[in-house]
Formats: sequence, C-alpha cells, structure tokens
Amino acid sequence: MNDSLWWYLTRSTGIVAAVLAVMSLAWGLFFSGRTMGKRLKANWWLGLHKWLGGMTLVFVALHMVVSWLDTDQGLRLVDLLVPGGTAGWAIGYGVVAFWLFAVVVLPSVATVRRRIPRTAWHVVHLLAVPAVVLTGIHTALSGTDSPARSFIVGFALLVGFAAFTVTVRVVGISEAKKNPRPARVRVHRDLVDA
Amino acid sequence: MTPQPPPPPIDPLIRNRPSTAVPPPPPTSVPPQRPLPPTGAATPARPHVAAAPVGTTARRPDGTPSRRRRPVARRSKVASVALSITATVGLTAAFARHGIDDEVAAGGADTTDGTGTGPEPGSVGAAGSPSAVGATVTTVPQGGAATPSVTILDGTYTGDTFTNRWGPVQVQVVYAAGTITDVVVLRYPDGDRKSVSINQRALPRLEASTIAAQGSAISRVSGATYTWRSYRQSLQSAIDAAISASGSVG
Repeated sequence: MNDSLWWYLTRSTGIVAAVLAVMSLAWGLFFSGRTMGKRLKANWWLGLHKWLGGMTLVFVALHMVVSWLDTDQGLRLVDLLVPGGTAGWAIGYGVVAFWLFAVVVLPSVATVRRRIPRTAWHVVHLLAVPAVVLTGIHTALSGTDSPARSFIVGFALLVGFAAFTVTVRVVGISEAKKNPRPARVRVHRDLVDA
Repeated sequence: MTPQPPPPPIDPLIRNRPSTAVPPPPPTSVPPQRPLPPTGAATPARPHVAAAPVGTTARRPDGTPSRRRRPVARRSKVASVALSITATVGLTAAFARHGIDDEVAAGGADTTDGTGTGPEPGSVGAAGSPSAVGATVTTVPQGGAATPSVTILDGTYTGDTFTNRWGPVQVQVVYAAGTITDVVVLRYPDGDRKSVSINQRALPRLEASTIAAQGSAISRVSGATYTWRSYRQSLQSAIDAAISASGSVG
C-alpha cells in the first residue's frame, strides 16, 4: 500500500480541493447578492468566504505537490506549472484552474487589495467562476474515480449547487438593473416639518 | 434696561415650529491640561494594561472600556479546517481499503495469501522458429540481485489476466530482433460505455509507451489508473514469460 499512498492522497486532496472551491464560490455569491437573510451577519459570510478561498488554494497546491511526488504518474515540475505539455490537457485544465485561483485569491489579501482599484480587483475576482468550471472539467477528464457511481452522484450535486448559486446571483443582478432601488438620503431632523 | 427680544430666525421652517426657548450654550469647560514634562526629562512609561480575554471588556487607565474585536466566524473556520483534514484522511483510507479489496478479489500478483482465484495463466506462442538473434535482457527482481542476461527470442508472448474493479486486462507482446515491436491488448474492461470510452483513449497511449520504454516502466494515464495497473501487471507477466521461454531454449 505504501507505493500507492501518494496516489490515494492525490485523489483525496483533489476531491477536497474541488469541494472547497465550490463552497468558496457559493459563499462569495451569497454575500455579494445579500441573499443570506438577516440571521447571520454579512461579515460572517465574507470572513468565511475569504477563509474558504485561502483553503482552496492550499489544498490545490497540496494536490499538485502530492501528484508530483507520485512517481508513477510521471509528472514533471513543468507539467504542473505549464498547461498543455506532455501530460495532456486533462492535467492542463487543472493547471490553468490553479493559476486562476492564485490570481483570484492573492490580490484579495488586504495589503494588496488596498493598492489596486476596486474595479480592477472586481474584474479579476470574477475569474473564480471559470476557475471552478475548469476544475470540474479537470476532475471529469483525469479523475481516477470519475467512472464510479458515487463519484458521479457527488459530482452532479456539486455542479448543480454551483450552477444554482451562479444563476441566483445573475438573476439578482438583472433584477437590480430593472428595478433600481432609490438612493437612501438622510435628512436632518431639524429640516423636517413636525 | 429691558432685555432686547431675540431677533426673528431667518429660516422659515424654524419660524413655523412651536416656539422653544433656545437654551444658552453651556459654558465651555476646558479639560485640565496635563503638565508637560520638563525639558530633558524621560517620558514616564505608560501604565501597563493586561490584555483582556477575547470578548470581555478591559478598562483603560481612565476607566473607559476597551473591547477587543472577536475574530469573525472563528468557529466556522476551525470547523472547515477540521472537516477538510478529516475528509482527506478518510478518503485516503477508503481508497487504500478499496485497493486492497480489489487486489484480494482479483487474486493479483500483490497478494501473498493466495485468497481468491489466481491470475489466469497466459500462453507462449512463437510466431516462427526460434531465432538465435536477439538482444539480451537483464531482469532485476524485487530482491535487487540481477539474474543472468537472457537473449529474448522472436515470438509472441501472452501475459496473465489481471482483473480490477472494472474488468479483466490481458496483454500480448511481440518480440522481433530482441525488441518489443508490437503490443496487443487481448482483454480490457468493456462492461459499460464509460469504461469503453476511457480504455479507447488510454490503451493506445499505454501501447505506445510500452514500445518506447521497451518494458513495463510506463507512466500512468490520467483517468485510467485501474487499467494502467492491470495492464502493467499483465505486460510484466508477458515479458517474464518471454524471458523464461528464451532462457529455456537459449
């Protein structure tokens, strides 16, 4: 079993990283759409969204390191960093997803975010959606467990959940554009007729 | 001297309000200034305020409360870390157990107790008469000691069948002039469309890798790991059969 331990770890870290990526995306969409209700505070959603994003990056990096340590895979360091090499595009999609996650998460660190304009940060942050999509493609093409029924069911649930959250957010944005809320104007009480 | 009435306010909104006497502003009270330390004197150290536990109220020296901010979603963050680590460890253990169960059921070469059916024996088929020309092959078993070199004779050698959770795999190699010139997969998992699709993509790559490597040291194909493992075992079995057949003749 020892010679296959890296292989088992590669699979398990990949699955956990994919789940964390979808959860982080969902939390961010719930927070930005303000669709979380009033029971939990907004800063709870935002704080957990940031945390899950960081954990996603950590587990993706762990997944790459472990797959490199599994010598049976025959992956070189360049295969993990440059997509579309000899390892094929089944691995390449995962490499692109990794770089997209890094581009999304790292500029969101407080010290970096203060230095870039908000619009630029927001455009870069939206790359999280294609990153999650590429993660799903990578999982379907290169996952050892992809033919298993339990995996197919779990994968379908994850894809459905991600699609649901994105759809809810997109619908919320279009609704907000059709029915813009009036701006709140605070009037001093001395200026209001009694 | 009678006090002068206050002038009417200019703002009409205020004029329409019920009249209320505007109280005079309270006398401004300037807080007492702290005396400056004499020039050259050392600044007295600020009194130490012990850090209060998170969530409780500490007091500054002047008595005003100083509350530390509780980290946001702390419990949820800890739970997410614990859940992720537990899931990773649990999945790894489940995969390892599945791998052992598969090998026990298939009676693969890794088992030592002989439970289940053993691998189906392959056959040695010579395409033509044994030829004295061939490259020497040195086999290195797991013990590390090299066996004497053997000249592989031309011919077709079939490996044992190794079965994984998706189906059986059996490989046949063709030697010519001492090198592997062709690989034929006689059996592969084809019980469902997904297996057929995966193996149709993976098997040509495995065959090409075998001819390039001239042995069983081939890399795994993404998404076809079970097939790769059984293929490698059957291929090694065919190579061993070729060596043993060549050694007995040569």
